[in-house]
Amino acid sequence: MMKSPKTLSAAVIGLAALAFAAGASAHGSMKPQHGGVVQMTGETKFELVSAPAGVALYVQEDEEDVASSGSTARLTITAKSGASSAVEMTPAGGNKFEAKGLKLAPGSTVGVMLVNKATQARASTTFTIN
Amino acid sequence: MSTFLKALGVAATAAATLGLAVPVADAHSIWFAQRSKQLALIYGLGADDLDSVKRLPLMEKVAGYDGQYKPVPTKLREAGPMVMVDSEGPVTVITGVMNYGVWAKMPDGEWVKKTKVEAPEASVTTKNFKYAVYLNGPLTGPLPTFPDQVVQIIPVEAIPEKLGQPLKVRVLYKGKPIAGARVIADHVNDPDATPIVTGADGIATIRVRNQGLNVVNAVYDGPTDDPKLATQMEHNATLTFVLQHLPE
Repeated sequence: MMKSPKTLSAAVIGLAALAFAAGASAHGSMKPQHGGVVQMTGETKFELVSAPAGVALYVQEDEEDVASSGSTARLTITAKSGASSAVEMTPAGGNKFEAKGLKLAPGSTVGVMLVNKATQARASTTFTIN
Repeated sequence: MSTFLKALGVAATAAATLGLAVPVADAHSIWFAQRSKQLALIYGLGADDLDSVKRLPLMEKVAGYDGQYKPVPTKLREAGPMVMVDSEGPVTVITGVMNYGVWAKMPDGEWVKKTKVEAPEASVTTKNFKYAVYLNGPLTGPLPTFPDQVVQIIPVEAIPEKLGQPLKVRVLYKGKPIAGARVIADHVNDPDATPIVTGADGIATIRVRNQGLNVVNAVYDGPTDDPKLATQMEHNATLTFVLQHLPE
């Protein structure tokens, strides 16, 4: 998708998002519902929340919750130095995934890959951390 | 007559009309495009979205790269009648290579899947390779050359955000600009367009046709790497990118 990256400020949680998808969308509200930063790819909405206890991810498609029990979510974290690591998130009920204890360093990018276990359908996005 | 043979006929007629001396073995290309939110491998020409599953064994490589052009593990997966791209993380670029084998132009003008050994009476035998580069997001830097893309289309300048704007591309053969590559701006919606032929600098200036999917195509007929089997090689490359529509 050729769209200029857009940085969203979220000073409270220190996250920003690289928006490859439409900012104003007919596929649901872009307002965070959990205090995180929202990124929309097509009709899939990702909300990434960084908190002292770890990182959480909430997923919706076209305004409907995506059951985390039916998908896998992987984070690919690339540090400012270029080093990268992968973290498999854990379903945490409803449309929530979590990675307890995970810290996201400023300047890093976080790629999210969501895979539906039944269909193998994928959705992804990338956040950058302020 | 099969779709393939019809396409060959159209291509051959177009080549003759244009005075192009080089025969066209196969006008079909590979590219990647979104299908039901997923990225799919497409084999076709114009609106012909042909059987990619049947041709999946011909794919020699698929690769994904992140925003810094670092490899991201990526593979192809058969899904019903389609071939989908699975990557382990977000990708900015996807590339693919298909080896379409050797085809021979027989004295009656028909193309058959035979080598020079199998069809010594053929006027031309050509070894066909198809390459695809898909841009899945804004580029963070100049698009690199990928070693597996023997022929590659490189945008020389930033890709415009609106259709109708010019875009300068350079066609590379083994990483170097090549003269004589035939470039068309829209392989999907205008496949019969008169191609722009690159000069020594490999440059062609096209006009971006679609506020959506754009599949730029370049074909270069190069020297054979196996004179016993084929008299030439046809390298068919695509560069695919998407211009965003207005916010909904």
